[in-house]
Amino acid sequence: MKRRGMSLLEILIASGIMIAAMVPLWGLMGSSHKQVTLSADEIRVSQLAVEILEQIENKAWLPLDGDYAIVPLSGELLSIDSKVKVQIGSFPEYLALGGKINVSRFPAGTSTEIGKVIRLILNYKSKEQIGKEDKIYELSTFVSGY
Amino acid sequence: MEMLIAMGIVVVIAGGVIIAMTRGASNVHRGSFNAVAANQAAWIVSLMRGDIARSNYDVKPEYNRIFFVPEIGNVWKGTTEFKVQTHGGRFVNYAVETLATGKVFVRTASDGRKQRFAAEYLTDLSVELVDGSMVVDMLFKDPASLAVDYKWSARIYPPTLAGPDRFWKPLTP
Amino acid sequence: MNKRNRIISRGKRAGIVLFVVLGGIFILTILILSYNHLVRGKFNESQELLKHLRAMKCAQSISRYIISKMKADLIDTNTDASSPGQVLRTAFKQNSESVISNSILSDWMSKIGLNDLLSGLTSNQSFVARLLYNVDVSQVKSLDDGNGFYLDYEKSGQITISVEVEIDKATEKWQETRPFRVIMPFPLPITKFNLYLRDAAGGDDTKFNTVIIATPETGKVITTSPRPLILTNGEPTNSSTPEDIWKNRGWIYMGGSETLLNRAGGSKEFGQNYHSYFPSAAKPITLVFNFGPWPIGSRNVVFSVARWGFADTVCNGPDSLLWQSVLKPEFSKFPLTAASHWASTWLHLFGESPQGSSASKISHTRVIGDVKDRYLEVCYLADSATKVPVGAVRALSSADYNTARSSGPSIPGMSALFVKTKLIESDVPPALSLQEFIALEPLFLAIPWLTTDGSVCYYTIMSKIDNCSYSETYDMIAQYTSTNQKVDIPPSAAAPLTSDKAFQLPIEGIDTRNIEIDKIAAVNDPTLGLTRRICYEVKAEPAPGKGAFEVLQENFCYKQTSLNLGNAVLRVVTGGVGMTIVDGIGRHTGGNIIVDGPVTVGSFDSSDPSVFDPPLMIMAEKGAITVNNGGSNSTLAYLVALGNGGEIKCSKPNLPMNLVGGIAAHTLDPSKMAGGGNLIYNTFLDPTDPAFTKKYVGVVIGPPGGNI
Repeated sequence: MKRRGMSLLEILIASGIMIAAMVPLWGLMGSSHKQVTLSADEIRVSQLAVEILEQIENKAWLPLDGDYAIVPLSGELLSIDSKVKVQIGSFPEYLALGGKINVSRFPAGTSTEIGKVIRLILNYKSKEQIGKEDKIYELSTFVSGY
Repeated sequence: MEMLIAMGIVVVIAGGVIIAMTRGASNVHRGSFNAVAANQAAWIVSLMRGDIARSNYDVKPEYNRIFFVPEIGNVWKGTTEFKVQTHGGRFVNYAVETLATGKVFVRTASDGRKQRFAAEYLTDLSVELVDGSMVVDMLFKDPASLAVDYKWSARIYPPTLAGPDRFWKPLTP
Repeated sequence: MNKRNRIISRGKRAGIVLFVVLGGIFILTILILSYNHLVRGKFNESQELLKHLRAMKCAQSISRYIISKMKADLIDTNTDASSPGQVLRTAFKQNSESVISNSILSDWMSKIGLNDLLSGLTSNQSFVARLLYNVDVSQVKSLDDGNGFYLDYEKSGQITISVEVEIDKATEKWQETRPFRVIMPFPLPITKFNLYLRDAAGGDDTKFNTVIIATPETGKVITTSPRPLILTNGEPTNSSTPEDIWKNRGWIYMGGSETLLNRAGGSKEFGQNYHSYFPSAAKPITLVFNFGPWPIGSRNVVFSVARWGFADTVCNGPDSLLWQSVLKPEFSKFPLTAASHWASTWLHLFGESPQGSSASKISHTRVIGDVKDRYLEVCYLADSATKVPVGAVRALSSADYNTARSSGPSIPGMSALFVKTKLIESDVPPALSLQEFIALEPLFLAIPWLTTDGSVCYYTIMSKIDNCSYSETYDMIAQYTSTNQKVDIPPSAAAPLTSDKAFQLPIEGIDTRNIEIDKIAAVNDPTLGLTRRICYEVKAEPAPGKGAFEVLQENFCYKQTSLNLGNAVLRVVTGGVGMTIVDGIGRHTGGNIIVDGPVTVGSFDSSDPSVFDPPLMIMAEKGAITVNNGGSNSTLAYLVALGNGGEIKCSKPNLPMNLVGGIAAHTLDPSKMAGGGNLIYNTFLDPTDPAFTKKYVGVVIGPPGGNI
């Protein structure tokens, strides 16, 4: 008579354990998925950034010091400073890229300027974080007229 | 009655477990395919970019250090020469070899080191020369056909000689 | 029994569901954990990739900065021993690979702010960045291939810059190898000459003296007559002995025939005028120029252009009887009854004033006899009683002449013209009798300062500036009245031997006494030995592309307006067509442009802060160099046109040419420089000058991966 409800109890306990285990496991898989997308997004943005910088290096762009706001559009030509145009790679719309290029002379101060440190700062939204704050990717290079 | 309820719950739970497991497994499979494909694509582009950044492309043959032989139009598909001369006279050769399971990207360095990438999922790799830049397109397919095909595209801008460097006159031509 | 079995089997089945579920959870867990592990791994890999990318960009940028800083410092003319430019030039002038590498690494590379740059490139980032760098010089070889002159520091080699950047343990190494050359960009020994003419006369002994007159009968000068070129070597103003004065004049080489120096009084004390005068074809001489410790700009050659004047008044003027008595042999030889030979036998050179000059600089020569071969030195005695001899009469500007005429103590028996110490040098032995010259005095006094109508005009009397004896002077005067063509002016004892080709200073150990000056610019090497020093070669693009100068302007000009050769030698290939350098060009750095054809040199930028810094040479392998002259700015280059028939000429021949640099040409045509001008030598072109080796040695870094 004691064993009459044992299967049900067993099943209920098992269900409970399963649900208790599945939730974090499922969450873990979900966060792993997110991780894949996050790092894929970051790699894509880094690739777009290095493509912009490579073009700037090849054009030996030497503007005045300051910030130059940019809004890169997928697959389009981007005008920086109205003198230089760079080709932007293709990227999904959700990235919503924006940012700026900061130019500062090097060496700083009064000694002869040898070139410019060009810092490309890109703000983007990852697919997994829509609605949350933008992520930032920054990459720099040095260009010179010598 | 109890049995029915119990069996029903078992079916629900077991079904849930089985569905979870199969879905989880296929999600894991898809997820791992995407993760691996993304990384392999990123590594291939990163290596090529690292090699090409240490070289330069020029329309003048005496200055050009990237030897790119397209197969169709301006597109290289992996069977013809693609050689990049880097620092110190070293060079690397790229090729795309066909295997039974698909394709593999092969990078052979002049010091003898041979590396293979993306053997598991690579189906297609092409490099197109566009306005002096190199557009790398890759296609990864899941052999189990569970995951959606993974495409990755990148553009590499080889350094170009600028200014006086283009006019250097060596002692011996 | 069955009940027991059922109880037992039930007991056995108890927990199976749990086990199944737990088993399933276990498997799922393993699956998901391994997936998570894979993803983690791939995430870490991708983060590694990003760090490697960042490290690569940093290493590439730092390497780019090192090369740029090196190029910038190598053209920095700061002469302070500790300045980066001096440190680098000193390093590259060494001949040991390890010494060069170590000097660059410890004395230069450690002080150029590489870690600051790394901080600038990785600012706002959370990772840890580290930097390692190295420089290695290899394959160093002297440029000397056994042909021609090379200085001991001239070399070729390779420089390898290695930069290693570590970003959070991700390391990227960047290594760049570039060829380099250390050169002296100007051909030896041409740049030691202020003026070098390989075949000045071009087979025509009288080229620089020829006067064409419309009709020999009238003897009238025509305004379009070619005018002879007079070179005035007038500076500096101090010296101790005549020999020092002689030595301390600039090198002038007038090849192709014998040349004589008219040691007339120049416009300054001890100044000298050189009249191009070719009595006969003979071996050329080299005249010593001034390489002494004189200030920059004090070595100059002034081009004056003389216009022949004809002495109609000799036979038709109020003093014609006087002239007949003074020039008796001449009148005997050429009687008045003949056609106006007299008009052509008494020629007086007087020069044109440089444009804009308020004081006329006119010639100091009186020539008697056949214009081609006569000089007359007329010496005035100051006082027969004191036996002060014939001495030097210094050339004066018209203002000084007028002042001298009207002031100063008078000497008994002489007019105010012959003012002691103003016009006459004392301390010379006696010469001619005063009487003969006093008779001429009214004539000379009456002659106006300057005339343009062909009548005689004189300013001063040519003379010598050092001591001479009565006999010597008399003999000279006597021989001028003879038909003897040999004129030994100046007396060889007071001048360097014509065979003396010694430069004043040795060129870095090279014995230049063995340089065969007349063999300079042998035609088999139009680059004058610079072939191995040519660092760059520029060609015009195929049509409809850019012309040669456009390509040069785009790549070798600072802000497209100032030539920026980096003290290198650059050759322009035009297929012999030649090149035009635009007006308003400036100089940002020195160097040498060699064009394979004729060159037109435009005007130079007036905003150049120094006419001497930096030194620039322009060379035409074939053909002429035409200078756009007549503007307010001087031409600031050493011009070389030594190809067969090569010459330097003016686009506006009747306007003066003002040049700071030097000239080396096959020949000069006075008619193309009729406006005269000034040529000031730039000592920064002289490889023996320490200022040259300190600042303007060419250290040229080639492209990455380029051949040596």
